[in-house]
Amino acid sequence: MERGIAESRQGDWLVLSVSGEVDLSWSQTLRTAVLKALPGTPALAVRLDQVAYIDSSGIAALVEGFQQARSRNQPFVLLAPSPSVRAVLELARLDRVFQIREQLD
Amino acid sequence: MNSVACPRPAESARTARPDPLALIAELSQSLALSLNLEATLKLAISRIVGALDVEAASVFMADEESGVLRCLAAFGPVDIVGLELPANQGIVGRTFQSRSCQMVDNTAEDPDFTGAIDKVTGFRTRSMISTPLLTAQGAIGVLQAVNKRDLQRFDLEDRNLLRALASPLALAAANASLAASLVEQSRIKRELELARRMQRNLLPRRRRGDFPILALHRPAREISGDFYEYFELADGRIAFAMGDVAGKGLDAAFLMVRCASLLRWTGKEGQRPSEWLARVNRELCDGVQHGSFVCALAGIHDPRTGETCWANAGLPSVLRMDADGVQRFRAEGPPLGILPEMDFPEQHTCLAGASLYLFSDGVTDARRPDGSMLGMEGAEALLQAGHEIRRPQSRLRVIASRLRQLELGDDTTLMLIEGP
Repeated sequence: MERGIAESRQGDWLVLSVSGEVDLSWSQTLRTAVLKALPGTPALAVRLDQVAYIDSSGIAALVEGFQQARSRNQPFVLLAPSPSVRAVLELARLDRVFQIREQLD
Repeated sequence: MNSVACPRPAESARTARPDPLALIAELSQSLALSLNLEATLKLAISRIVGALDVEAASVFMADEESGVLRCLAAFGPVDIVGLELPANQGIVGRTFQSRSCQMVDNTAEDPDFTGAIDKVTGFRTRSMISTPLLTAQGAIGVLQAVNKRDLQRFDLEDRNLLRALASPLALAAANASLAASLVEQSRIKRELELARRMQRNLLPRRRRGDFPILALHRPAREISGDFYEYFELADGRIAFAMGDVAGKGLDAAFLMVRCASLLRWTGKEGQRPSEWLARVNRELCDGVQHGSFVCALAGIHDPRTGETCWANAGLPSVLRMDADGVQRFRAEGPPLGILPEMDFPEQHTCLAGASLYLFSDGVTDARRPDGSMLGMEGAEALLQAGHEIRRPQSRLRVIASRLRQLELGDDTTLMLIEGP
């Protein structure tokens, strides 16, 4: 699957739709995209339904985005994670940290 | 412009010019054998001054970081060693940028001539020939000769000789810089080895006899983000902990040292695992940079009764195995260092006649020869296959040898707690 990050708007939300495998070779791109997007939007959603695999460096990029957003009281959600991403999040109990939603409405 | 990068007819009225082939052979050999580049360069340049019948010659080497050409060796009436010229100015800069030989019979007529060296030294540069030092990586410096004696002009023979001599000079300089970077690499390697030993010393020593906790630990690189710990409490129970810092670099190693110390000192008080992890989590949240976190587990085992309780903050599921089968305990707490106000629920089991396996995701992320990941199912199968071996030390050895047959891309740590 082609790697990429697409931006779209949905009301107050800026949605970053991520696709492909997020591993050490690419997690920095995701990190930069998330950190750059945060100041320009009231709320950020990272859509993960097209992510086939995520490793701990990819999780770390999401955690950093979450922490930055939280320090500014900015809503930050993970949207529709694929089964493999959901398994990683749930096994490490990061479902207790992140707000995970199937859709924004 | 009076600079010439193309051939011109050789002049015939020359006397006593040394045999160029013999000179090239001599200089190539002395540069190849030299252990002291600067001394050999100086000797080589003095021979070039003689061979070209010029007043002075010098070698400039490029410093990529600062964008200058710095004089490494010189021979002539003034010492310009250490002098710096911009890599994009002057005739030397032009030689470097264009990677071609430049001949200038009258510097005053060359628009690129800056006279930078003359201003500093009081020397007067009338004519100049310079050639780039070329390697596979591109130009690395410039060899130049100035002021042909007795008002002669530089000719094709000078140009060819200078270019021929530039090759062994470039090779010797490239070798010297390679040697310097090897020295630097070996220094970094030594320091990493020291850091690795320091980290290794943080881990508990293997106990002799029937101590119920055994561990194996394989860092993916010199330094590790994984750690484990066990120590006896005053009441005879044993506290144990394991951690896996996200990331693999130096930052992960520093966080590993911090978290390992925190877990050890907080755990010495013998408090309940849930409170133990909650305290370490609060401490870590205060001062850990965003995006760093630690998957960890802390617990207490009573070797007399087998009663064991722990709290798991984001490490893979803990496996309890006995003759009846396998029981999985999924983590109930998130990793440490993300949110300060988190609770870490405890899990309990009795290990009488049973074993408990805790491990970092290096085990579940290990890859089989076909490239597929082991996963939780695979890790469970791997551990179960060795479970009939009674002696825990032998069992761990078998597990270690099975893990060695897999590709371990991450730090890998496994702890075995053997019940009474």
